[in-house]
Amino acid sequence: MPASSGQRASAIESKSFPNLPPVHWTERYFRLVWGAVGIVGCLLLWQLGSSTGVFDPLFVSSPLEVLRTAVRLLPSPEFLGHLFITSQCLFLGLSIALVVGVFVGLPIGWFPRLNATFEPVIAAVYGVPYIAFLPVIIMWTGIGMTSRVIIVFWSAVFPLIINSIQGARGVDDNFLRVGRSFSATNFQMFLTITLPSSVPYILAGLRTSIGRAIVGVVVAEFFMSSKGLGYFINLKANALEMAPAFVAIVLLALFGIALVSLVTYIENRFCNW
Amino acid sequence: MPNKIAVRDLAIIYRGRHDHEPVLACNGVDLEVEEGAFVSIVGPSGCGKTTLLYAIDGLLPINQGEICVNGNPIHGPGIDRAMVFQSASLLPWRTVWSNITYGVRLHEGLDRERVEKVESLIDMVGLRGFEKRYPSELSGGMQQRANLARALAVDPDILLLDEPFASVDAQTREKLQVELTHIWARTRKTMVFVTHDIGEAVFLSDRVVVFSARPARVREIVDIRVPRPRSLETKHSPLVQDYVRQVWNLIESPN
Repeated sequence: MPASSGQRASAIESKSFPNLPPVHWTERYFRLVWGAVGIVGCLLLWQLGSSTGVFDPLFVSSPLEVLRTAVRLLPSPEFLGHLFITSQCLFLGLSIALVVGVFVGLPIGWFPRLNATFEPVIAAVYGVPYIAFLPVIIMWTGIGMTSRVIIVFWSAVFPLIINSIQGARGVDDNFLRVGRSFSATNFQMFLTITLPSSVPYILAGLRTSIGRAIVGVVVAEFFMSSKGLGYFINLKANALEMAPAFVAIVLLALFGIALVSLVTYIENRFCNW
Repeated sequence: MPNKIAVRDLAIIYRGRHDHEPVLACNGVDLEVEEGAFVSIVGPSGCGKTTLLYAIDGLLPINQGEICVNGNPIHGPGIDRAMVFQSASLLPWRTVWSNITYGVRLHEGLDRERVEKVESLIDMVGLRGFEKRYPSELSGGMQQRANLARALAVDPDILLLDEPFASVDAQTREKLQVELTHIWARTRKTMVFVTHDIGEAVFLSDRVVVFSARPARVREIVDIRVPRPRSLETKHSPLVQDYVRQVWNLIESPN
């Protein structure tokens, strides 16, 4: 405290308050802790039910059995092959959907005439359960990698188109005025105003798309594949081998969580405005 | 001094988004601004001051009359004019640096010389150390400094300011007003300043243009004969207060 200030030194001088008790870790990681309690609790109930015979282990397996099977299955080249096929299909379909969704959606949102023309069509198609198109797509493209990628694409593309439309329509007038005031060309307006301003909408669309894409790939593999996690689940469940089926199901859940976390990371990193 | 801006018999029909009722915002506006002058426009709220400013920037179609800059009619935006918008016009996904250089990068690109100019601008508006921040991390006053720097960065002849300090707290506003007079003195830009704060208009300007209620017409032009440089004491001096009262009466009195 400088003597010249002529004021009494305050009791609290610095930004650290050594006398305050530290925040307890259950307080700091509140949601994480209770989330873990929820998951572990469910697994315990499941295990208990299977062990005591309340659930028939033949039909539902048990968490420990699933874990044992996972340890056995995960390193096996055959299972990894299924995993690879599914992820390949998912990534290809989602990537194409992202590019197409953005480049179809933004212009439709941007140009009022395109918007008025295409929005009813898109709304109509979006309203139909996308799985309903599956037999049609099989008729068009046969069964194989291409047609499975098309199904993933089809499952994923609509939320991206619709959100891109919303993004391009929702650009703040203030920002548009800034671009025009600085004599931006139409292309510069698109690149520096419309596109960045739509990114949060596009990412929100991507979130929805990931869930739909995973459904799409599994259903496609049920019906038209001899490889992939969907095929694997179908095969094992029919043979009453529930533990391997559950391993694949858990893996799909983790897949979804990982992809959505990636989007969340991108949002926090690049769209924190 | 030659006229930098000449507005002649201007009428603007303003139509909001989609199919809103069209509004006659300005009708028969005549206004001349000499090179290097600081002119403020005041008037009843909603009278069309901002509309006129947007029109001078080239953002609105002209329905009647003309706007000349350097003697030539304008046909849209140009980098001889730059706008300092009201709050919330910084692009939130760009850093302060990236916002300030926005206009420059659209046109010439950033060479070494331009970077140096922007650097000195950042010093001039007092944003040193904030270049890497995002607008949401800045106070309202800091945001408007960045907004001002963005307009100055393209080195326009004319600076158009649309109530730039309206949403800034009172203390910061007074500080920014004084700084703006310094910036004006250093850059010698022609400035057109729209505000609803009469004290601000008188303090800053060579001339205060009083608009009528909508549709806006020029009702009266008041020459502010207050010596420069002006400081905060000037703002509270009886001379300035007399002008404020005079302008206030002009706005309030019936046509």
